[in-house]
This record gives sequence, structure tokens and C-alpha cells, in this order.
Amino acid sequence: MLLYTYPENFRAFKALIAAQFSGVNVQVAPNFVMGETNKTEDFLKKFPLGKVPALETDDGKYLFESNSIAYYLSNAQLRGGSDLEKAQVLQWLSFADSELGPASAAWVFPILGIMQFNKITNERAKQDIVKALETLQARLVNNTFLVGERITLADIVVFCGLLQLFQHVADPEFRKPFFAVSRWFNTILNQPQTKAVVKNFTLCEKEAAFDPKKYQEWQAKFGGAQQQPKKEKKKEEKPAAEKPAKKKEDKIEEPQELDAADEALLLEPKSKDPFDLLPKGTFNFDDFKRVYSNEEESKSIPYFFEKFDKENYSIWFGEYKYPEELTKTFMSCNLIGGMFQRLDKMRKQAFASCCLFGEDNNSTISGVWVWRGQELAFPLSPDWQIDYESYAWKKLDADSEETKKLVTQYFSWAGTDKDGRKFNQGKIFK
Amino acid sequence: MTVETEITRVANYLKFPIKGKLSYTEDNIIQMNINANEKIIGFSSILNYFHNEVQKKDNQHVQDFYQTKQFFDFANLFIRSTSKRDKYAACLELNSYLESRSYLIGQRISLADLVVFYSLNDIMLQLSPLEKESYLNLSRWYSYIQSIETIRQNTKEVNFSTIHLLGWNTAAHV
Ligand SMILES: N[C@@H](CCC(=O)N[C@@H](CS)C(=O)NCC(=O)O)C(=O)O
Repeated sequence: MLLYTYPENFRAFKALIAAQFSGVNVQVAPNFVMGETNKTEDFLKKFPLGKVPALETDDGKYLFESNSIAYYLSNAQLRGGSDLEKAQVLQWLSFADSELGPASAAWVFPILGIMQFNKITNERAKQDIVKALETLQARLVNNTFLVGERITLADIVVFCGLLQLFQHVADPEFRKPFFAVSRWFNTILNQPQTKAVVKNFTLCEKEAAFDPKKYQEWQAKFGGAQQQPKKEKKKEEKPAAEKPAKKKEDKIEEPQELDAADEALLLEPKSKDPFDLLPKGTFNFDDFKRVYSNEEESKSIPYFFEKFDKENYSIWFGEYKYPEELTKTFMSCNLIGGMFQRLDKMRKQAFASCCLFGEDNNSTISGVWVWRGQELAFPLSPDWQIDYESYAWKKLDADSEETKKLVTQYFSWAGTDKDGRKFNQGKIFK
Repeated sequence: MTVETEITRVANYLKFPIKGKLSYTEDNIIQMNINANEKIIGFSSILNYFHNEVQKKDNQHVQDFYQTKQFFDFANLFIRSTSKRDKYAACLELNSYLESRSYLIGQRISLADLVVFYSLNDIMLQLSPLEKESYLNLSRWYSYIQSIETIRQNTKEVNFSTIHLLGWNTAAHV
């Protein structure tokens, strides 16, 4: 079966997670280009709405609307046992769409730079979210899951509906009264079936603020069809000219037809990339990351050394300087996750594998990093300077056997630290 | 629930043949024959033995080993304590531990859930609706584990429906 979607679409996640639980085999359509593929005659014949996600079955049947697709891909347990449970599943699906969806968008989108910030809208959205979370809390304080005593599609769909909120705006302070919702969210997030689909999620540490610059950039790129008369579009296109627009972006000429929000998630507004100042070599991070994610390390590591371009890129070893502060291993993992989140804009031209060795009260953190350029990359951007000074950095000689060993160890999450502590957990920056 | 019943239920859940293997030492401590000349003595030791057997089949959870052991000891020393104070302290502790967790260890059922569930049965049966309500997180977890037939077996059912009927204001627990 073929699922049409762009990457990291939370609506497609519902279907993909359901399929993980039921064991149904679904492929994400390769080469799908948002705003292009879904506007072709062929696609529109199958899915007149032209929206994604959309599903094509093996025997040529078509489904649109993410909830129906997720339902179709579910098994009996996910759909609910009794008639009442089935109805309750439906109840939470509708809840996610109507109570959670619009309010979540109203709060998160301005922060992502997709919508203008408006104080009244923002406050109303927050109130609506509080109400929705109270509803969830009331159920989850007495029950492990949303329907019955098993995971159902209701959990998957509401979880997906909360992803953006919990990633960008619902900080620990805000989540605090909703401890049962947080407990449940973590449980769903950490099911192996979810983890196979949702790979780059970090819980919000601090509510992101509206950034007018981000918004302007987005406006410049995609026009403000939803907020502004079309005329103004031309004028605003200028700032975008400083970067050659990608082919993908060129094609999107009818912004009023796009789901503005998700479109922007796909093509997140680009602030100037500090790595642009450095010469571009032959090593392609995207290609490597793809190989690394899809292949065994026995393939991806040789691939890395074959393609690595030591003239324009460098390999580093970074070790956390204050291991005695690492008490609980889960906190240490948060430390790495937080740093990765803050370094988000570095991802395009960097890759790292950070490992936690040891156990509670006796652990160390270290990692192998690769990025463009020969110098320490962090000083390139003020955004990147929060964490790096708590690490000791050492540049590695790309040709040495020792480096090969270290890279192999860290990329494959094996071995021990220098004092013999066993590998505990790893995180990949990609 | 006697330790013998509890061990038998854990064994049933694991589909581990146990018939005729359990007996008591002269000091009235439970023991299990594992073959003609090997015996394991004591509640926690027998459970650890089961745990090791599970690990052999499913070695992805090795790191839970010490945590699981801790829960066996906790069940043995606190929940099964003859002191009422210990028992209530155990409930309080579990209740706050479970505030942020759906399972005792990690994100799926482990032997720790089974053992604590069985050991708690006597106490839970005696709690008033109001007490159950005050151990909110513990009650949520307990009723979930109880809903799994392969775990519950013939364990006496604890009724939680009153909590839901009373519709307690959750805000009171924040
Ligand atoms: N209710 C639909 C919404 C689908 C939707 O809005 N999809 C957007 C992207 S997330 C889309 O494909 N927009 C393309 C367009 O409008 O041309 C669902 O849940 O599947």
C-alpha cells in the first residue's frame, strides 16, 4: 500500500503508527513532492481534493482524510472492543480534530512563523488548549489509556494532535497541572511502534516566542494569501531573493490552495545558514543520513569513510566536562536532547552520535561529530553557543586508524567509555 | 494472597511448569525445586530465577535487571510486611512513583508489575472508595493491570467503579 505524504506530517504519523501496531505494510510514496505531485492530473483523478495524506491500496482503492486512513490501517484492538468503545474511539478522533486541532494551530503557527501573532487569538487558543487538556486529564488520571484498558487509535490520534504543542509551546510549567496527560503522552511516545515513526521529537523545555522575522520570511516566501490581499505579495517577495529559491518552493504559486501551516512545516523558513560562508565540498550529509538511517552500520560506516571529504569537513570528539553532575541517566539523555534541539539549525551541515555510558550516578557523555569546515562550528552562530562550552572538544585526524575505530564505535552505539563504563543510550543528531 | 499462590500465578503467566515444585523449608520459607539436587529458597530468589529465565529468552531488557529486583524486594519487605505502617507507606510511595508512569519499569509490562500487583491484592481489597481515590495513581495502575486476564487469573477483583462514579474533581490533586 502506498501513502502519499511529505515527511514529518503529523497527520501521516497517525496512519503510520497504526500500521506499526497492526503490522500492515505501508510504503510512503517515494519522490513525493508537496505542491507538485498532489497537483498532477493523475493524483487528482485518484484524490480530487489534492490533499495529503492519501492512501492507495494494493488493489487500486483510494482513501483520503488521515483519520479514515489510520482507521483502515488499524487492527481490531486499535478500533476498540465493544460498540461503546468503538464509539469512544470515534469520539476522541473528533475531539482531536475539532477541540485540539484549531486551537493548537492558532497557538503554534505564529511561533513557527506561519501566521501573524495576535495577542487575543493567542490567549483564546491557550484557553481552548487548557480546556482540551483538562478533558484529557480527567480521563487519564483514572485510566492508563483513553479508551478501555488498551492502546487504541484514540491514543494514537490524540497523541499526534498534541505533538506540535508539546514540542514547541507547552513547556514544563504549562504541562504541570496535566501530569496524567504527560504520563500518558510519554507512554505513547515510547512505544516501539511510535518510535519507529516519530523519530525527532523533543519535549518542549521553554515556550518558543513569536519571532516577527521568521514570519516576514515566511510571508516573503509563500505570500500571505490567508492574511493579506494578494497584491502585497509581490512587494514582500524581495527578502527571499537573497537566497536562490528552491525548485520546490517555486512551484507553489497558489498559496491560497495550500494548507499554509503544514506547508511551512515542510519548508521551514530559512534564516541565513552560517555554514553558507564555508566552502561546500563533496560530502553530502543528506545522502549519508539516509544511508545511516536505512542501512546496517556495516554498510553505512564504510560509506561514510568512502564519501567523507576531509578538505572541507572535519570530525570531532566532544566530551561532557562535568560528568559528576550526571545523576540520573534519563536526565543526562535530556541534556543531550536539549542541546540537539538548540543546535537545530546546524543539522543540515552536521551529524553526530552522542552516547551516554554508565548508569545512574556514574555516567559520562561523549560523542563523535562531523560538520562542514575545519574549525569548531559553534562560534559561527550565536544560537549554537549555549551548550558547547560544557564539552571538551578535540579534532580528530580523519585518516588515522584510531579515528576510524572511534567513529565506528560511536556510530554503532557500542563499547565503553575510556574508563570502561558500558554504553547505556545514544542519540543521533541528524 | 499467599506467596505460594503468587509464585504460581507468575509462573502461569510465564507458562513456566511449576506443578509439584513448590514446598516449604523447616522454617516455613517457600522453596522451589528446579531439578533433583537444586533448590531455590525464598520469595525474592524464586522471582529472580524467573526473571533470569525471561531474560534468557528476551535479552533486550537486561538493563532492567536491578530495577526489577528492587521491586521484588519492595514487594517482599514492604507490601507483604506485617506492619500496617509499612503497608501504607508502600502504597503512598507507589502512588507518587506512578504519577509519571504507566508501568513500574519502562513502557511495557514487566514481572515487577505482576509481583507488585499480586502482593498488593490484600491491601487493595480492604481500601475504602475514599482511600482508593486518595491513591489515585496507584488505583489507575492497579485497575489497568487487573484488566489483563492473563495476569489476573483468579485474583480477587478490586472494584474501582465507585471512583469513576463519584466523579472526583481531579483539580484537587494538583
Ligand atoms: N483533514 C485532512 C487535512 C489534510 C490536509 O489539510 N492536508 C494538507 C497538508 S497537511 C494538504 O495536503 N494541503 C495541500 C493543498 O491544500 O493543496 C486530513 O486530516 O487528512
